[in-house]
Amino acid sequence: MPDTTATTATTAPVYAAPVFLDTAPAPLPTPQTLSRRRNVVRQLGRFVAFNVKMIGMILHGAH
Amino acid sequence: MSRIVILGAGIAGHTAAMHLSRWLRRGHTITVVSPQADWNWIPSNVWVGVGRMRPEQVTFPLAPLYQRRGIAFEQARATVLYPEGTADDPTPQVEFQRTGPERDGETGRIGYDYLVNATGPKLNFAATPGLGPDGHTVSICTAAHATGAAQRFAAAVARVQAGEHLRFVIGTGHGTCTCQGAAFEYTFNVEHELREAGLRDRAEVVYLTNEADLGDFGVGGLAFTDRGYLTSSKLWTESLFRERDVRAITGAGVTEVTPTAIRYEQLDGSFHELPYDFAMLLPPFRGVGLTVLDRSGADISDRVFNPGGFMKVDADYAAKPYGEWRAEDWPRTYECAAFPNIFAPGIAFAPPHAISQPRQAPDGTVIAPAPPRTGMPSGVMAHAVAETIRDRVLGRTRPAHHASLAEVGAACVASAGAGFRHGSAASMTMYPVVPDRHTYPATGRHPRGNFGEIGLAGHWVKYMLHFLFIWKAKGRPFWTLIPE
Ligand SMILES: Cc1cc2nc3c(=O)[nH]c(=O)nc-3n(C[C@H](O)[C@H](O)[C@H](O)COP(=O)(O)OP(=O)(O)OC[C@H]3O[C@@H](n4cnc5c(N)ncnc54)[C@H](O)[C@@H]3O)c2cc1C
Repeated sequence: MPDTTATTATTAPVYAAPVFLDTAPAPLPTPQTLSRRRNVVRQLGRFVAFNVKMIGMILHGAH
Repeated sequence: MSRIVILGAGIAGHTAAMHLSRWLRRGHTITVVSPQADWNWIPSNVWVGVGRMRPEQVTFPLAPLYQRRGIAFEQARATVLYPEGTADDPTPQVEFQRTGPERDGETGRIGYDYLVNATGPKLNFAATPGLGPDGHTVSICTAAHATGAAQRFAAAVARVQAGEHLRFVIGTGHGTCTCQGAAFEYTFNVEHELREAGLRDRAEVVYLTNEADLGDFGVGGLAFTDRGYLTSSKLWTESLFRERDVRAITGAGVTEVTPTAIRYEQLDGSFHELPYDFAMLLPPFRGVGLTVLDRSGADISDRVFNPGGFMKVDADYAAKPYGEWRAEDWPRTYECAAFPNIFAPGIAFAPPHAISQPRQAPDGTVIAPAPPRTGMPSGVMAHAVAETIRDRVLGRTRPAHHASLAEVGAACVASAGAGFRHGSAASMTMYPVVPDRHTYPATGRHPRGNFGEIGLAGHWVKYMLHFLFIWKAKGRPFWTLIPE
């Protein structure tokens, strides 16, 4: 078998500086949204709602 | 009398062992072979990794529990399967090497009628030079790794407190990694801790991922309804990154980690170098590398495992282009294709293909997430496998129980910071895990099965699940009422 490795020139890659994703077009939550996400009373309701969702999915997926 | 041997005491193996031990009480033996003495609730390792929890809070010793439940426990690593027995003994058997403190290195064999291969992943840090705790980055994949990560994180925080500006990089350490959810969680927990400590202005947090888009999570992303719009997990995740000022690099396959920089290739073929001060990068996963020998001693591992070391089960493994992937390709019963008395639930089974769209750089380097098999589906698969084995042991002539990822859903609660008042998490549900474009043509998933929300309630859910699942794993009263 011919030795292919001997003739393969491996050029080391040139490493450029990192390029970060531009997230500026993504929606930014308003202060009201952020406060809703932290509001204990509202979040208690969301806690119950998410648990109901999970239970629904478990029952739906049960075989 | 039947002998059931379970390899691995993680989420899948332990679930199977616990259920079988309540269904098959008299005359049958259940043996768990696993190299670690402790069970680990891996999802909470994220909090160990930032110093919010101690390793004892996420682990407990298996031996006393198994003794109480009549399960035999071999603290050992399985090495060789003899599914046809040997030349002298036709009993199917497993060879193992003990790992416990007293008999470390000793080998042994155990015969079985049914075998559950729930050995999960081998953390393949060797795939990327410099990756992992023996290299230059930390990991949170085991409780011990997470403890090491917490120490290095505390040291980095101390440097920021002393006035230095540091870069914290978290993400995937190879182009083919899975489990992006864990990296996402650790990113936002690190960010949260730095913010709570008043150090955020001197700390840059970067998420480096092999996902082509944020919010892919290895499942091709999600679409869900939000305030009357069908929105994507991409937009939703980008919004969180923008809000918390976390920088992101997507479509990146890490090729090397040096003591000061992470080198990676991107999907457009460009190579980059990212200097860092603290880095937690997940490894790619492989199967744990069991050998399979036939009666004559010939190696038949490739009949049982795919090249990645994952067990071939009842899936359609025919190679086909992305556009032709079907929900029915995915396994339903996890019965080994070559030996129907062997099953492989959890990460141990070979997926027929990815879930996210396959992508590669111009030079052919694959940069695309492998399919995740997260905790909830792993438990559901193991439950189904345990039911099938129970029926066969008890002589019930029923079809095998099924739990295809194309017919089960998953709830994912991705922590974005711990704290009873200031914590938060992204709570998501998806149904089914593998998109089924035939049944749900619009998005591949049930219109009401997908859901996403960020808030304090998510943290409470994640914290509650921590206690519930450890309660269940310990077999405490009413544990069977807690679903997988
Ligand atoms: C940091 C992190 C965070 C995560 N967070 C979440 C989350 O929030 N939610 C979620 O749903 N999922 C999460 N996951 C994924 C979840 O942990 C896995 O899906 C789940 O653990 C898979 O279960 P398993 O039983 O297949 O594998 P494991 O739980 O890994 O168990 C494998 C078992 O096999 C044993 N073993 C290994 N080799 C051998 C051998 N040769 N012989 C015998 N035994 C062997 C291991 O010691 C272990 O006991 C997370 C994963 C990570 C790494």
